[in-house]
Formats: sequence, C-alpha cells, structure tokens
Amino acid sequence: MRYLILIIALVFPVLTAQARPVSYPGGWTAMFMNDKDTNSSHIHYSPTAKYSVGWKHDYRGDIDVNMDFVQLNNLLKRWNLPSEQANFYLKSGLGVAYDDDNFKPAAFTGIALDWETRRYFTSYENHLLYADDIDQHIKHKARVGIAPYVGNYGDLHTWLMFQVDYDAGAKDSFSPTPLVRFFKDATMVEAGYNLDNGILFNFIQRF
Amino acid sequence: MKKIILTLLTAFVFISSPVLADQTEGIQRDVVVKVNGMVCDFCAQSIKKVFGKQDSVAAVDVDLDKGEIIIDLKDGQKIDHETITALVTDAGYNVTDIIEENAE
Repeated sequence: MRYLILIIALVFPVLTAQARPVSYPGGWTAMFMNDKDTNSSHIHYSPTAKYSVGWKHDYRGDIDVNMDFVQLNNLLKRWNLPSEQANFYLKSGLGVAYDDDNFKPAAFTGIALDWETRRYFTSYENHLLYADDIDQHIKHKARVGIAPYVGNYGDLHTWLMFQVDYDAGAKDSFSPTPLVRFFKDATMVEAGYNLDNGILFNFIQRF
Repeated sequence: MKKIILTLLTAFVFISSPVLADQTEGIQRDVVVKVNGMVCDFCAQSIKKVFGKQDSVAAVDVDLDKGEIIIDLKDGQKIDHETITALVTDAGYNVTDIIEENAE
C-alpha cells in the first residue's frame, strides 16, 4: 500500500494548491493552515505575478516549537493552456525557531508543482527545514483531486481531494488525509481528517 | 469513523451543488478577450482586479467556461490591444484572441 501511494505521488506530481503562493500584481493573500503537527499563518504580498514576499509563523505542536520567517515565493514557470494550468514554484524562508529554552536561526526551502484543470487537480511540494538542534526535516506532500461538478466563476466550487504526507523521520512516514475543498470568489476553505489522527483545516483569503 | 467522514463528504457535495447563473448578464460586451490558463476563481479575481483599475473600464467579468474576459468600457472610452495583452500577461495568463464586439 505504501508503494502504491508513493507511485501515485510520483506519477501525479504537481502543487498543493494551498492556493498559489503568488497572487496578481498588488495582491495580498492570507493563508491559515492547520494539520496534525502544525498551525501555520502566512500573509504575503505580490508586487508582480512572478513573486511574493511575506511573513510566516508556524507553531509545531508535535515538538512545542514556534518559528517565524520572512518568506519569499517565486513563480519559476507557468504553463497556460486552454482550460488548464501548471506551475513551478520555489518557496524559501529565513527566520528563527524558538521554544522555552532555545532561540535558534532557522531556514527552509522547497519546490512546489501543480497542474489543474477545472475538473482535475494534482500537486507535489517538498519542504526542507534547518533549525539547528531544534528541528531538521525534509517533508513531502502530494495531492490529487476531482471536482464532482464544474461551476463557473462566482459559483461555489467543491473539490474532493486526497493528500499524502511523507516524512522519513516520522513514526508514521506516510500520512494520508482525505479532504474537501470549498472555493468561491476570493475565499478557499479546506477540511479533512488525517487517518493518523488529526484534523486538517485550511483557510485562504485573497485581497 | 471512516463512515462518518464519507457521509460528511457526501453531504458537503450535495449541499454545495452550484447555482449556475449567466455570469455575464448585465455586462456590456464591448471587448471580449480569449485567454489560456484561467481555471479557477482566483484566476478570475486576479483578472477582475487588474482590469478594474483601468480608468477606461466600467465593468469586467470572467467566463471560465469559455475562457473569456468580458470588458464593459465607459462611454466614449477605448482600450488598445497592447494594453489588454500586457495586463493579462502581467497577471500571469496568455491572450489568444481579442474581439471588439460593441466597441465604438
């Protein structure tokens, strides 16, 4: 089963549409992500459609650590086709990680890929973190999704998705999460249940 | 627990069934721009924000089904093709055609 999940994640690589990390020129985005390990807040501004800069705060509940970063997201390549789009991003951050006893410099980087039509969605991203002796990891995340109906702009869009997280250093390396996404205008909400016992809830608002 | 999750997901799908409306109703179709890459509401929002800042534009709407931007110009106003192409490209999408339907 694990190999099957890994094959799916590799064959269908492309962005975890945690909503795209870069907006339109002059656009602001607020992203709040919560899963079994992390509560994350990320606010960014896009001077152009090629990159965004912002602030990100992570609280890692599994190790009781806070992290703050200045984050830069770069759209390295976009493919626009009739009724489909694919993107390749680089996401990086510099900041600090701290708990009750430590205060250490921290940095992360990772790529994100996605491909979506109005019916199908698939994504992949990774996250390489260095926070001295507080935490170091390489995590991977892949998603596939399908829209049970296709709505036009302004309709309430619904997606059924399946996410797999992989962390070689974790007790449960593969962590699957079925979820549902609701999307309307500039607002996106995602809710899911991690099969390793945790709630996923994401909220994204564009301005 | 799995049955509960499946039931909730199924309920969400039915509850969220769309009310499909004519998105361009009430908009004067002065210029219609055919665009590649518009697949979601975030794309449409981006386009609406970018064109909405133009002084010559009275209203703008997006038809994801047809891959079209519909531009309603203010009376006596024009917007040239180079500006349209630049706005769409800078927003991250590709223009494939520009059709002036009711432009003066």
